[in-house]
Amino acid sequence: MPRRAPSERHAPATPTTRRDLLLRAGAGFGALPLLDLLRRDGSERKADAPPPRAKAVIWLFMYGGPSAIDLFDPKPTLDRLDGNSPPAGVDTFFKDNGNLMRSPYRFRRHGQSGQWVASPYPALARVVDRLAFVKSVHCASNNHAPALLHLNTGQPRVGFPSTGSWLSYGLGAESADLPGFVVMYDWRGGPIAGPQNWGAGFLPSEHQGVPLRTGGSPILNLDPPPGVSRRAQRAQLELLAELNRAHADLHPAEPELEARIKSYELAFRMQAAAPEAIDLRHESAETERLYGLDREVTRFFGTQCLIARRLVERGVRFVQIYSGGGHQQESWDAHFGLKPNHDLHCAETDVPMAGLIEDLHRRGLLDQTLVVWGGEFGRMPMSQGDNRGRDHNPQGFCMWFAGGGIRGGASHGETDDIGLNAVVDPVSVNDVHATILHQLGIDHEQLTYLHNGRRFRLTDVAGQVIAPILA
Amino acid sequence: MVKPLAVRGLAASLLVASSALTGQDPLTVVEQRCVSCHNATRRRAGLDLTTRDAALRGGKSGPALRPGDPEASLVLALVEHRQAPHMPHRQAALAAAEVDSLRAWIADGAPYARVIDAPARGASDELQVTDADRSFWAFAAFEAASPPAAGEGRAHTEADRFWLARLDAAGVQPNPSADKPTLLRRLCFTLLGLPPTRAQLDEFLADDRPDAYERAVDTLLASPHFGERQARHWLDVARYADSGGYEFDHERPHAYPYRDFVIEAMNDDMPFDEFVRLQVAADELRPDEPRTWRATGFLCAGPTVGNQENEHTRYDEYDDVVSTIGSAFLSLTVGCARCHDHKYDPIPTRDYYRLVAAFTTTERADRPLRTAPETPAHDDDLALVMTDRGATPSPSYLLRRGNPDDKVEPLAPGFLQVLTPIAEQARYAAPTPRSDTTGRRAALARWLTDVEHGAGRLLARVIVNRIWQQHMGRGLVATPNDFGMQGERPTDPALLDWLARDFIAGGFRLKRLHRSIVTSAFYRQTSSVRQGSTIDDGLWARRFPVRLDAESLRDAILATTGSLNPKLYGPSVKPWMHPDAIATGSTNKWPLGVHDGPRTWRRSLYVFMRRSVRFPLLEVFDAPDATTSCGRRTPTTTPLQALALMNDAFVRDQAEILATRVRTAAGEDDGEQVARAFEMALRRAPSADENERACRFLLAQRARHAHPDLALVDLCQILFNLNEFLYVD
Repeated sequence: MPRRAPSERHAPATPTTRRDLLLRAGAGFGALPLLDLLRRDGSERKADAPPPRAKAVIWLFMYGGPSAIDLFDPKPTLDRLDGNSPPAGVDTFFKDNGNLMRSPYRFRRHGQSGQWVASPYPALARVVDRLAFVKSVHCASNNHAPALLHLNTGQPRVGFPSTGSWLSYGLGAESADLPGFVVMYDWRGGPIAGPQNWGAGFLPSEHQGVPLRTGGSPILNLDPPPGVSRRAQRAQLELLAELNRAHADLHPAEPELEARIKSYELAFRMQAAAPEAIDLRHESAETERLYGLDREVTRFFGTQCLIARRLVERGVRFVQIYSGGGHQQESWDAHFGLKPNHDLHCAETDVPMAGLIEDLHRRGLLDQTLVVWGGEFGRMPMSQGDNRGRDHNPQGFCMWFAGGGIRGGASHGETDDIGLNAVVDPVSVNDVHATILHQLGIDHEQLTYLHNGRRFRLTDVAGQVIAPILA
Repeated sequence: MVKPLAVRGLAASLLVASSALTGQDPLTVVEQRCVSCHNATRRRAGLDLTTRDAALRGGKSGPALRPGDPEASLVLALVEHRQAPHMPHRQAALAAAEVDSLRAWIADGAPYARVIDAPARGASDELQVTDADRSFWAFAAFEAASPPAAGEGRAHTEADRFWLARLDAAGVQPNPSADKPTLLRRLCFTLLGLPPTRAQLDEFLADDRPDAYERAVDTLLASPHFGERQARHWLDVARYADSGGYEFDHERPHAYPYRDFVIEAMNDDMPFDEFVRLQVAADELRPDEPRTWRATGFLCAGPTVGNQENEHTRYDEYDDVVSTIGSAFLSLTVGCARCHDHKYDPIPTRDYYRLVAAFTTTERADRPLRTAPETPAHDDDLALVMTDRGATPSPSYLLRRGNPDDKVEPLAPGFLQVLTPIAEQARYAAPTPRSDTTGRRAALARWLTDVEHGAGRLLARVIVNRIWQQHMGRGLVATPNDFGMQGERPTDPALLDWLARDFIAGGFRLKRLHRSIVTSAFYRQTSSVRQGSTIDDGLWARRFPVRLDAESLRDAILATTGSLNPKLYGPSVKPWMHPDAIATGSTNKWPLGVHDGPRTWRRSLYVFMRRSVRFPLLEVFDAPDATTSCGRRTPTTTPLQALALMNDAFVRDQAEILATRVRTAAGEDDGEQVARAFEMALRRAPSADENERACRFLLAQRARHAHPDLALVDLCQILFNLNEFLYVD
């Protein structure tokens, strides 16, 4: 049978090639990394694939849409024009455009790099030299669900694999005992559109994000049923394995049966590994303070950031944490009063994010871990009506990146004088995704999956690596 | 870098010589092979090659030309395939003479001696559908072969003769027929999606008539559960769900009548062509039979944004409908032609928007299913249907690059030219019997099912392949939703065509088709492996064990414990769900603390399909997400599946129920309990070895539990986890 290009890999019902067989036989979390496997199989992996600069990604997703012009992208012109009419014809979600509104926050330059950070982020300002800002991101929708999907899957529609799923598919997991793609969300609830944001789309479902709770039982169905001890369950699994083994002996040609027997072993290990990963008892008091676990306002998000570090240490490939849950003021969706909203959400995230960067750095993990910060869009320079809030702005907003081959202190792209549109070096969502893949050693044009007759990519038919922010 | 004018002038004069030498005009090469993508309006990779300045400015990868230095010029590196991406993109490489002319031209300073026109955006550069396109296997006339003479004495069906002829030619022996219990379990799962009952097995074992197998098949085909099983397959294709998805994920309480229509149609053996027509245009074709309108739920089943209504979201909805029609009925990726002509298949964008034109006047509505005007419409009489807003069609357009703000020209409705040349499409424009709809969908329905001049042949090939796949684990065409260039080719085209012809000749009857496949010799084979044949060779010379799909697994557990509520039809149910699974979205979209019981122990196709909160047990076993048409589920094997079957409260509850049944039947004797448990779950007695191991387990497990009765529950739960339970041999 002629060798297929990697992009033409189907997952047929029955293994038809050695590669299919291997992939399917190992189709647990410990599956062989696709790219590795392809290399070993002698198939073409492009010689010009970028060298990996990071092994893992931690994406801090500020759900609801944080305001770039109030946090990282100061606009003196907006201060001057405060109270004036906004430009005509700006299309907003609520279609209730009030006057231009200056930021309620003070901006100062910080660090050697002199990057601007606003007053609600004092702790983050202290690690600003490790951050690279991209201030000209734009996305396709001013509506939460499509914009979230766009940032997560590259398409503002349902049904496409999320970034973490693509990475899990492309690189496999380093951990045999934990999922490759883990999601943690806010105590107030998950983001709009829920699991559609971390779905595997048309990729095999094993690549979907696994929601992880920060206390109790971290993964769905992790605990044995009530009244069943771990010892009793171990005995159950032993009998199961014996009976399955006898059955498999009668079907020597079915690798899937073997894979399923193994999957129970993995599951059993995961029952121990997942609680261990969220067990913070062995973290020092100093570390806990670093992440803000000693204060009520930062404890929840800080715990998630600390767990993210522990997951990355244990080989999890992609961790996504959502700050903000539910609707409007519960998330970063500051329609009704920007200041109270961002005061709260900044206070919850400031110390934990700075602690995460610092902790990763001092443990030597920041070099191997790409940290991404951003929301599904930014916010408008005018007030929504007269309520001192801001409507959604997908036309120009800020994201920052750190670690994993990123040039700390860099700043790329600009919005116009009032922060309405990205005007210098606009960066698309495809570009963001291309950059993430690039830092993990994947050429975004090479990572494809054949589905319904078309080779799909995370970056669709576009995407350029944001070279100026790379070290 | 730009050479002085004098030199350029000199070069221009040399051009004649260089093109004379190579026989190629370099600017013609640029014009014909490059600028369709690299022009001032369509700057792929940021590059415009229509003027020298623009070419020197270059695109994303830098200047395209270095005048005077061909080897350092990017254009040459790409067309010579020294560097990726190879150009021209996805087209034949340049001929050597063409490359030579470009090299000489660049060496001469790359003069633009004349203006290169960007390609006009008229009809001329649209994809032209040719007779060569129509000769592709999926669009071509049927192969007329009659069943070969092969297989005398071995063939059970005519289809077997095609299959055996290929095996004979390859010198391969098929596997023998499996034993009766294996066959019955196989039949029950592929026809009903349920395990055999003891009574069914006893009856089959006791029947020693020569046609006992065919009789068993006929009995199963007559079961009302047949329609449920077949409906589940079709609902995958129809991307059916009970909610709209996206942010609000609005419930669609009147979506289920469509699901019930599908079950009924399958049980009543509605001819498939009629089944298709009703889903597209029941309101137009059967204006006096409102119950049939439920069928148009097919058109309404896709996801919708729900909190934003504008032309962009409307075109997304048209796209959902047209793409699904393409995938479901024709196995063509019609949706790929939304923004540009299809890259691989002969589907111009114009054809796409001619299909869209059938839907620009449509609206969704909850409509009563009864005609009598005096009967007030009860809530449970309503069905989500699609119909037209009136008889006057809303305008429809050809869009540039899929952008509703960029309308090229008005466009009349029409169909795929590759199946019916435009000149012949007028035949479908018969008047609709209704005065309040446009009749456009009725015309589309007629075209889809017209075997002679329309899409009917392809429609038949597509459904025959789907039915084959559900019985054999894999289709004759391995890509059931893509019969285009990018899809797989049929492993046995003559057999596929014969089945399709026979299907049409038999009046599009699905039960007849099911029967012809499951009574064949190839269906009945064992899965055992002859030496050295572990890899599928496309000959179907053995059977492959197939894992139960998500719904069959849950249904099999319920059936095994006797808990299954066999009620058919009605509103979808919301069984107990773990609170952690409910809390994954921005709002709770599933009731908390549901008490499971007969009300929720329905077959899984009645479980409410909420797009934003998928039912965990079904999701983890690869149930589709209902965003687009799903022709084939990708089965995975993950530790999360193991965790679900070990720890999910539903599975544990069912294990307890089974343990109670076992104890009632067997008393307190361990050996008897093991025997009964195996019989109920696997419909066989345990081997001596299995019995001994299981008895030892019961003994030891009682000591590990605070309550000794839990040992038997543990054993029952193990049975649900066995590969033998999870796979159909």
